[in-house]
Amino acid sequence: MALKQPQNSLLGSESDSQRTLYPYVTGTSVVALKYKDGILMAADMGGSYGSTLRYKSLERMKPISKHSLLGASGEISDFQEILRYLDELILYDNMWDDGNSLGPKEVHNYLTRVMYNRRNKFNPLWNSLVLGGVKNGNKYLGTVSMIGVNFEDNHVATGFGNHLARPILRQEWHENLSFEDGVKLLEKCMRVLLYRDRSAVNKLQIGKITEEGVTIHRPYSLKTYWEFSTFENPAQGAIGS
Amino acid sequence: MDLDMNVNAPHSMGTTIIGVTYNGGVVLGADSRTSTGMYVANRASDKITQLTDNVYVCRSGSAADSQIVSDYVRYFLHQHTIQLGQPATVKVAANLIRLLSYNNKNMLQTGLIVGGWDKYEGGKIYGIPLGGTLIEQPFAIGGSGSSYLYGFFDQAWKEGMTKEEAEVHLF
Repeated sequence: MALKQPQNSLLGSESDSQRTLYPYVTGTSVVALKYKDGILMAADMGGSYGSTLRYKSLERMKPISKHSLLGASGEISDFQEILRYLDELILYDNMWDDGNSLGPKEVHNYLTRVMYNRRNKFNPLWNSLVLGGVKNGNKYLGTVSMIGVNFEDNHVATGFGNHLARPILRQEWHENLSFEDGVKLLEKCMRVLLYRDRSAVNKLQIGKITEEGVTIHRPYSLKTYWEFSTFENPAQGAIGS
Repeated sequence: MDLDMNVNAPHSMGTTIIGVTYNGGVVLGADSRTSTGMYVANRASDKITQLTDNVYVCRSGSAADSQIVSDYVRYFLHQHTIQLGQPATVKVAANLIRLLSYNNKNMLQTGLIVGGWDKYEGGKIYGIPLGGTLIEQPFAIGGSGSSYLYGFFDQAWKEGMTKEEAEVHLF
């Protein structure tokens, strides 16, 4: 990954102001879907540094307060900063001590405002975020991109996940999936991503959020298929090759 | 020259820095070469810099940037220690490094490894690469020379090494 300084003198006076940056340590896709009891989210634990797979134990999903789970792809330092903004948001919310707490819809809206306003200042937080949660029986699943595009849906994904996982989900997702079926569906998506996304790594976590709370399961890896007949007798077509 | 240096395509012996935790503390290591392009400006550099009695940092990337960041953090930690009334924790030192690295990410080009010991968490290593990500690791490698070590550490590092094992096998 080249570390050239950008030629941005044409874009106006820079002095102390920051401009559009480039990401350094990045996470790849996050996939999430609504199921019977709440939201299921999956993300692998890889942190890439350009084309190098530098970190293999990054947690890219974090619980936010009681009701929400945030997953992020993109620049990890910006994700860590977003977590700090949210810490402050939740802290102030708790300090009201009025029995109310910010639900996923509110957190998603806050994140949307933050991302869009940074984009307007040409200083984006280089992330695509997935925010899922359950409050008072209502399931919520939304996404925000680094330019502030935001929407909610029954299933969302970031990055490569949009191209590889969403089509699978469009076919196979249905209302009231059981936990097992939801996980199987997510694993199906993550497996395709593992095969076809160069920056994917075979160590993933599933996050579950229900009315009861957030659980982020222990990391595990997926079984993959490589028993292609071509590899069985590779020299068959050309002896000595 | 150095701006074209790319951690993924090393064509020269760049900086190598290492930090490893063991039961009881941490061991830090670094090479001693500082180069400007092809010339070795200093062959006896000390890339392991003290921040407090119990926290050190390994510096890589731009010498100027890493030195100034270390100097600021040492200054802040000194004041923090006076206010706190006891030694600063490794986490606090690492977070100060992170704040400077993250908030000045457009201007800085330095990757740092913070290592130390405090009474709450014991020996800890924090990696802070370009961009200002903070990542706690059982061991960390950095600098352009670290490219050669990824495979080696994947194979040679194990959980729960003693100081002697770490020094003999890894350093």
